[in-house]
Parts: sequence; structure tokens; C-alpha cells
Amino acid sequence: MTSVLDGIAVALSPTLLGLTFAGVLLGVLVGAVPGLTATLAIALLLPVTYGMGAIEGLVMLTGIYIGGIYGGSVTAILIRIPGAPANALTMLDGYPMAQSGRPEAALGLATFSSIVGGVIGGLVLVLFAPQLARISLQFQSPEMFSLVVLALVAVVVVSDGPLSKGLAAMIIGLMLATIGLDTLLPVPRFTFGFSSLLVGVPLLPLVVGLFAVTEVFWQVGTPAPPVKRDVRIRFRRIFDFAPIVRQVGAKIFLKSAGIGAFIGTLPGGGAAMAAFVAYGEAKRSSTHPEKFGTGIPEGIIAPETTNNAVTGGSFVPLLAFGIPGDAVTAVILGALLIQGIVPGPQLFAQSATLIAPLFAAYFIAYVLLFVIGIVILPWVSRLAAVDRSLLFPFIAGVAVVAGFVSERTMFGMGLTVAIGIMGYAMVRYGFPVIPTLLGLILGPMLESNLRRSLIISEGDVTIFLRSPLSALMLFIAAAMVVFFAFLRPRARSVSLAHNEAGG
Amino acid sequence: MSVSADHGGKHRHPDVISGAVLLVISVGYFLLAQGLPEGQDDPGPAFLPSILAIGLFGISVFLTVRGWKSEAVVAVRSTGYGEQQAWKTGLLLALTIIYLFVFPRVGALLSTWSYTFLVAVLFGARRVLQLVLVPTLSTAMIYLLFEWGLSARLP
Repeated sequence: MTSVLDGIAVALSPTLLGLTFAGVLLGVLVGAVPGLTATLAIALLLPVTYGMGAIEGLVMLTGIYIGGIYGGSVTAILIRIPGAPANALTMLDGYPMAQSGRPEAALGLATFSSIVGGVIGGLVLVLFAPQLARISLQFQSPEMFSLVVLALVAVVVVSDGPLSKGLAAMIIGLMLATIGLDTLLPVPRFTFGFSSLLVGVPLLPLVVGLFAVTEVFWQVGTPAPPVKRDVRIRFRRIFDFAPIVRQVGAKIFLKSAGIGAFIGTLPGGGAAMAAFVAYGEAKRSSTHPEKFGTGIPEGIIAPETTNNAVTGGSFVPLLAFGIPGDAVTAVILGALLIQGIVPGPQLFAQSATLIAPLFAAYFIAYVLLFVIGIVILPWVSRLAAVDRSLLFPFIAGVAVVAGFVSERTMFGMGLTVAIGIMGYAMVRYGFPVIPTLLGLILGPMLESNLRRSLIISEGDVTIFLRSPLSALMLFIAAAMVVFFAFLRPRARSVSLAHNEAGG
Repeated sequence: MSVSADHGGKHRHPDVISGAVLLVISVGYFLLAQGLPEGQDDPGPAFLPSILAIGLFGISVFLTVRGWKSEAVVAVRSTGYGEQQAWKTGLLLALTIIYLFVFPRVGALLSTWSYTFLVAVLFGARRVLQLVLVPTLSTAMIYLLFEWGLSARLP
């Protein structure tokens, strides 16, 4: 209890409070601009967090994550362009409601739903993450290997585009992870004489290249969407959502938040999938399902509550096992590792200095989101119509210079651009990029546990099947591949793969 | 929209291209992995790379064959691979490479101003005020962020 209070006190300190506010505000502003995403903002901010302490960097990244998910709903509602795939469902009813003369109610519902979902997701995080971390103590090398396989496969099967391309993207990430000194023997692999690669592909050039540079290359070749610039938000009507919430009731909020928090805890369980499930469930259980898509409140409440509950749920496997569920938590994991913080039970042993303030800052972020969302909503809405030519030159410059700063050499700059070219080629030909990122981040964990297991078993691969838990996870992974490969093939769609990259 | 197959390769399905590239990568990666030392008690540094290379090889063959058998298309844009103006992306790529080259030689300020100016033009900025303010403010913010905020020494 003492550590909880200490954590709250630390989170309320002027520095952390300021960083939380800055992170949420930045996330909202970035998410509200078409073409920009929370992942992009986090990628660009990663070098800034290098100079901060661990908790300071984490708090700011978390704030951006939370703000970015919410900010994407602004463009979805006002100009029918979802800021992230998770906001696509919000658009279905949010845009019609805005067009019918009630943009304030639509945005207010999105704001309120985001906070409810985020708080419930946070409660799941606080209750379950420490327990799962204790369970992770039971995991030996075979179980950890199988868990990583399951996580990678889960991300692949939920990514857009053909399964074959998702697997190829994952393998590319794993191949990149083998660059550098071998995990068990001190021999360099695939470094081609570059001493800078002995420590492996650095995270920042990868993240910035894959998300920021790729996005700039993609956006320059994509015609700008027609944007309606005549949406007026009237401040005096900001609380128009309140009577709607009373009328709708608590059930849809609780059910949607539960769906989001649960899916968020699953490896690969991102906000987009959760929003789809919640929207579908809300429609199925509604007394007027035919009205979904015409501008009804439930069509906004369900997806927005869910995709914010995911933020809390997604931290559970991240902190307990070090397994990220999506691009944003993958980058946050990278930031943790850079700071020398290893997720797992030992992380929770340091609760007074890191976990408790992080949990407290998470909830504080949602309080700030409510304030920011309500107070600056009329101005945030104008960002939805901002011209790309104003922002993307800055993003391009920051991304490339960040590559230089990350390694303090031109090698870092060149690597960032090279990875950006690779990312653009992947998106252009329909390959999702998130499996690549996760493959790079989880590759060392996969390989070290694989080889340790085989050392223990003296080369006997059945070690992975002798443990019931390991066998179960491998079976689930195999079943997912079979299901999505043969029973439910997906259509190819580069545009969806590109949306997923920005998610 | 699609046309009957043109086996001259001019209008081959894009998966043939991506499959062929991945095939080359997988073979090269496998060959490089065979040059790694073997492990004593463990599978060795080449174990996982070999598995990955074989996996990627299989997928690339699958993609290439599937692409070859698919109907050819008039142009990349008709496959739904986005209505991309590839020339703009190619131009931005060339500009970025030039930027890499001049950055340490000309200095961060001038090279970044020029780069962001040209990027703004590519993104459609045409008004004089926009063309002056966007690169100037961008360069200033980048310089402040990295030089002052992070104490990074830019050229």
C-alpha cells in the first residue's frame, strides 16, 4: 500500500505530471492529423526519451499512446478519415452524427468512451500484470520459446494481407535480429564488416525508418484526400454527450471495455481487432441493429471504449513477459530494453521506483485526456484539415536527422533511410511491417530460448512438446496458421497493410 | 481492371517481383549462414538463420508461382496496390540520398533547409510564404530539438 501511495506521489510530481501532459497532448495532436499516427509520434520521440530517465521516458510514451488512440477518432468523426485502423469503426457512426449537425456530441461521446475504456483497461493492468509476472517465473526456456512463437504467429495472422506475406515479413524481422554478435558465441553474424552492427540493428533507426520514413515515402506518392474544412465545433455544446450517455446506460461501456481489455492482453490482440469485435457485439445485441452506420451513439461508444481499454490490456503481457502485442508496445518494449529494464517479475520487485508511478501515471493520463479533449476540442478539430505539405517536410527532416543522432554517425542516418526504403517496398508490395518489427525485437529471445532448450535436451526437439504448457502454445500457434491459411484465406490488400503499418 | 497475360514480363503480377527478390535474399542469407562456425554443445550460430532462410525460400517460391499464375495487370495501380505516383516517391528517395551526402559536408542547417524545402514542394506547397516558412520553421525546430534539447552535435 505504501508503494502505491509513493507511486502516486511520484506520478504527481511536477516533472512527471508535465511529461504525462505533454505526451497526451502530443498524442492527441498527432492522432488528429490525417496521415499521422501514435506509432509515428512515438517513433519520432524515441530519441528524446534517450536523454530521460526510465520512468520519465515510459510515462511520456504511454501518454502519446493514449492520446494518439483518442486523437485518431477526431479525424474519423469530422472528415471520415480514421487516424488509425482502430478508429475505422468509429467513423461509421461518428461521421454521420457529425454531418447531421451534432459534431460536438460525437466528439464528446468519443472522449467520454475513451476515458471509461482506458480506466477499465488500467484496472485490468493493475490487477493482472503482477499476477501474470509471478506465473512467468514458472516459464523455462521451452515455454518462453513457445510463447514467443505464439506471439509472433498471432501478430502475423491478425495483420492485413495474405498470410504468406505476413510470415515473410516476420521472417525478415527475425533475420534482421540475427545481425550482430551471436547470442551464445562471440562471433559476428551478417555484419559485413560494419562495427556499428556488432550490437545488432539499433532500435531507433529501425523504428524511425520503418514508420516515419516509410510513411513519408508513401504519403508523397499518394494523392491527398479531399478534406472538408467547414466543420465548426461550438464550445458551448461540448457537453451535449452527457444526456446521451445517461440514456444509453452503462452496459455497453462495461461490455466493450471488457472485450478491449481481454483482447489487449493477447499477443497480437490490437485495438483494431478489438474495435471490430466490440462493434459487432454491440450491433448483435442491440434492439435496433439496422440503425448502426446511420449515426447512433452506440456505434461510437463501442469501438472507442474498446480501443482505449486495449491500451491497458496490452501492457499486461508487455510488463509480465516482455511480449508486445502491437507496434506501439513493441516500441515501448524497445525503449525499456534500451534503459536496461527487463520485463518480468523482477520489474515488479522495483515497484516503488517504476511500476507504481507508471500505473498511477496511466490513470492520470486519462484524467488529462478528458481535460484536453474537452477544453481544446474546438482547436484540435481544425488539425483534421491541416495540409500535409505543412507537416511532412518537418517529419521527413526529423526522421532522417534522428537517425544521425541515434548513432552519432552517418551510418545511423544511412541505416534509417535504408530501412525506410525497405519499409516502403514492403508496403508497396503488400507486406505488413509490424511483424517485421516484432520479429526484430523478439528474435533474440526466440533464438536464445530455442538454443538453450536444445542444449538442455541435447538436441532432442521433443523438449518443446514434453511441457504441457509449451505444447499447448505451439498447438494454438499451429492451429491459427491452419485456420487462417486454409479455412479463412484473406484477400490481398496493400492499402490495408499500409493502414496496419500506421496503426 | 486486368488484361490477358502478357508473358513478356512487362505486366507481370507484382508478387512475381517480390517473390523473386525474397528468393534471392533467402539464398544469399543461407549461403552466408553456412560460413558461420558450428556450435560445440549448442546448435550453433547458423542454426536459426538456416531455418529462417529455408522458410523464406519456401514462401518466396510460393509467392512467385502464385504471382506467375495470376492474371497480369495493366499497371501496378490496377492491382489495388494504391494509386501511387511512384515518380514522386522515387524523386523523394533521390533527394533523401543527396541529403545524406551533403549533410556532413554542407552542414545540418543549410542541407536540412534545402531538403525540407524540396519535400514541401513535392507535397504540393506552392505559396511563397509557405515555401519560406515551412523549411525555415522545420529546420529551426529540428536544430533546437537535437542540438539544444538532446545536446547532439550536428554538422
